[in-house]
Order: sequence, then structure tokens, then C-alpha cells
Amino acid sequence: MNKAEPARPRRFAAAAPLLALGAAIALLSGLAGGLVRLGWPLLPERALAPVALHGALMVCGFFGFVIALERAAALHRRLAWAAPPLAAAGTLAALALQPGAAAIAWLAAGAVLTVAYAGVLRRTPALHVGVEGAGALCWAGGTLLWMLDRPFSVVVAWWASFLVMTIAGERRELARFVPLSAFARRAYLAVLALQAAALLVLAVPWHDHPLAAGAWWASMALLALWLLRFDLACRAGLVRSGWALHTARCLRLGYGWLALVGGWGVANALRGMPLDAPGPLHMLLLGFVFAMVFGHAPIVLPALLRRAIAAPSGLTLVPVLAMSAGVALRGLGDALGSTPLRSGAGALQALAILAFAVVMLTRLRRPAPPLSAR
Amino acid sequence: MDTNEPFDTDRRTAMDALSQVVDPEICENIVELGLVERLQVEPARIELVLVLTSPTCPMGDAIVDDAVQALQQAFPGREVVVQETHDIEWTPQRMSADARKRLGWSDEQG
Repeated sequence: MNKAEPARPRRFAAAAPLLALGAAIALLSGLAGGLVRLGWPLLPERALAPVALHGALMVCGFFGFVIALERAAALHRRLAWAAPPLAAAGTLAALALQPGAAAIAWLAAGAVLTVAYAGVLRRTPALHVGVEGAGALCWAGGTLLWMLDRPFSVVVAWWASFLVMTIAGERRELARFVPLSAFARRAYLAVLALQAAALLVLAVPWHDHPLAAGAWWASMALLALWLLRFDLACRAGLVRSGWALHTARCLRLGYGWLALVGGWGVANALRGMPLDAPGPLHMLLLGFVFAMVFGHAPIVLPALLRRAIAAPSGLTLVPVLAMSAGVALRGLGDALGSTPLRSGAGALQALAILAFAVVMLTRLRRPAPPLSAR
Repeated sequence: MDTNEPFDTDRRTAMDALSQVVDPEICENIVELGLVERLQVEPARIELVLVLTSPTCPMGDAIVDDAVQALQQAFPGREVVVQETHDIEWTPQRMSADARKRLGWSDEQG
């Protein structure tokens, strides 16, 4: 007889305000730090931390916290619930300008998340779980490389792969609902193997690795092509409406940015430019990753918070399009070396993120009816 | 006379209620997706065991809650117990023929 577990308690919904505060602190400080870097005097001069640790706050503080939270809510393992507070502790340490303590907390959070995935893999040996687990390992690995004072371009590659592999795993999970050819299955594995191999070579400490950087960017372009061809959101003939249609639009937009990012990154690598040269990296994080956030939030947030969500309105896509306009402007500013363009683009992107948060808050309703009514 | 008839009717009612619970990412209901592993309808109690599609999916709790709510609405006053099993892996073969067709599967594909 199969063992069945009783329905699980609603811990997440009860703790939502505190958890939202944790995400908001990391996101707002990371955004403010990025805008100060672009010339917007938003913070007092002594508030150095958000500026100095902008990238770490965005990837480890915000995305690390949110992803760890999402997994803890799904897994209901006590161990998994340790990762979000550790990520939040890292954010607080970073804001107190204690990068050493922040790194230890984020390394612990990444390690806990990796171990949680390993536990799931033992029980359910599924490819998408393994890929998401590899993403968590990249978070821990990137943070370790940061502690070891490896070039920030290498750290950033590992951290970005944390987000990309998490998304790639989630999309592979959903791809199980549609038929995938043997070629599609093999191509997915080959693309991620290329990315993993590039990350491993980048981590080797005794020389620069332009080829590995090029391979890492190429894996992004190839992943984009895979998603554009095989992902559920890009399948023709499926009936989509409401938020499902919104999600598909955001995802397709993000895949387009990812393809462009990969091409630009490869071109940069061929010219010997560092992996974190202005341009493709921000396009990856703001064009691709935030498109995934904008696409998934209306599906995942109501489920986690046990709220209903009103149908999307005509304004729902405005933040998404504003972000894409900001990404395009930022790319142009980076390519031309134009400070005013970069500053304007940064402000537009920050406004797009805040506008999206407002859209979400105004569409959420209570109490939650069954999912069918959403 | 078929003595199981009231229970068969109840079972149909329960499945109809569960058909109202939709996975918003796939836009298919949990019956069509093959998430219902076991449904036991008794005069005072309904017991449902679900197979969720992935242990890392954050939608799981919401689907369980919605299944409870749907059954409680269909059978007021009866005790409703919804459990999830991890011993059975969800595969695309669990989906109904109609759902598979809508999602692009042909008969030959596994």
C-alpha cells in the first residue's frame, strides 16, 4: 500500500508579511545601489553597502531568498526552511557592510538548498530536480568563489547560472506535459552540460579563460533556442487565456532577450572582453530573469499566499513592456558607452519592477476561491 | 438492484467537483492531468489521494487545498481527507486521452 501524507499546513501564507519584508529589503536596497551606480543620488553618501554589494544583494539577497522560499514552501522539509532565513541574514550582514559574514550566510543558504534538492533527488530522481539542484550548487559555489577572492566575472557567472539553471529546471519540468523528441531531450542535456563545463573551467584559478567565457555565453544562446523551440510557452496550438497567456508572452519575450544576450556575450568573449563587461550581463538578469519573474508571479503568488487574483487588465503588460524598453535602452547605452542612456534605462527598469509589484498587489484578492475560478 | 448505485453517483459527483480544480500553469484540471490516484467515497467520509506532478512545485499545497474545498462544497457535512503520495511518480501517461490530445500528444507517443 502506498504511503500518503496528510494535507500540509499553510505556514507560508501565515508568514507572508514577514517574508515579503525580507524580499523587499533585499530588492529595494539592490535596486537603489544599482541606480546610485548609474548616477542617481538616491542614497546618502555613507550608505555604501547597497552600492558596493549591488550584484550580491540582487542575486543572493533577493533571488536567493525568493527561490529558497519557494522551494521550502513546496518541500515542507524542516531543513529547506533554514535557507530563506540564512539568505535574509546574509542581506542584513551585507547592509551592515559585513561582506564576510554575508558570504558565510549566503554560502550556508546555498548549501542548505543544495542538500534539500539532494534529498528530493534521492526520493524522486527526476532530471528537472537535478538541474534545479545544480542551480542551487552554483549559488553556493559562486559564493565560495567570492569568498576566495576569485575575479568577480567568475563569481557572477556562477551566480547567474544559479538563476538560469533554476529556470531551466522549472521549464523542463513543465515540458513533461508536452511531447519532446529524443533530439530535444539530448539537446537540453548538451546545452546544460556545456554551461556546467564552462563554469568548472572558469573556476580554475591560475589563468583567464576567454574560451570558457565564450562557451558559457554560447550555452545561454543555445538554451534560448531550445526554449523558443520546445518550451510549453512557445508551443503552437495550445489554448491560452488570462494569466496563462500573460505568462506565455513574458516567457517568449525573456527567451528572445536570452538569445540576444548569448550572441552578444559570445561576440564580447571573441574580442577578449571580460565576462562581466557592460552589456550582456545586465541584459541577462533584467531582460531574461525578470521576464520570468513577471511571467510566473501571477501564477505562483496567489497559490503561495492562498489569494485569488483578478483577471489581467490592459495595464498588466505595461511594466513588462517598460522593462523590455529599459533593457533595450540599457543595451544601447552600454554598447555606445552613453551614461545618460544607461541612467535613463536604469530608472525605467526600476520603475518597471515597482509598477509590476503594484500591479500584483492590486490584482490579489481575498479569500481564495478554488483555482478554477482564478 | 445495484446496491452500489448511490456510491457510484457520489463518485461521479466527487470527480465532477475535482474537475473544477485547475492547475493554472497547464490550464488543465487535476482529473484530466491524472493527479487523482485514489478516491474513496463513504457515507460520512471522503478520502482522496493525489499524485502531484513534482515535489519542487510550489503549486502543490494550493491544489490540495482546492481539492478539499471542492469536495467540501460538493458534499457538505462529510469529512474530507486529502492526502498526497510521493511513492508514485507522475508521468504523462497518467493524463486523460483528451488532455494528451490537447497538449499535442499523438497515440504513438509514450
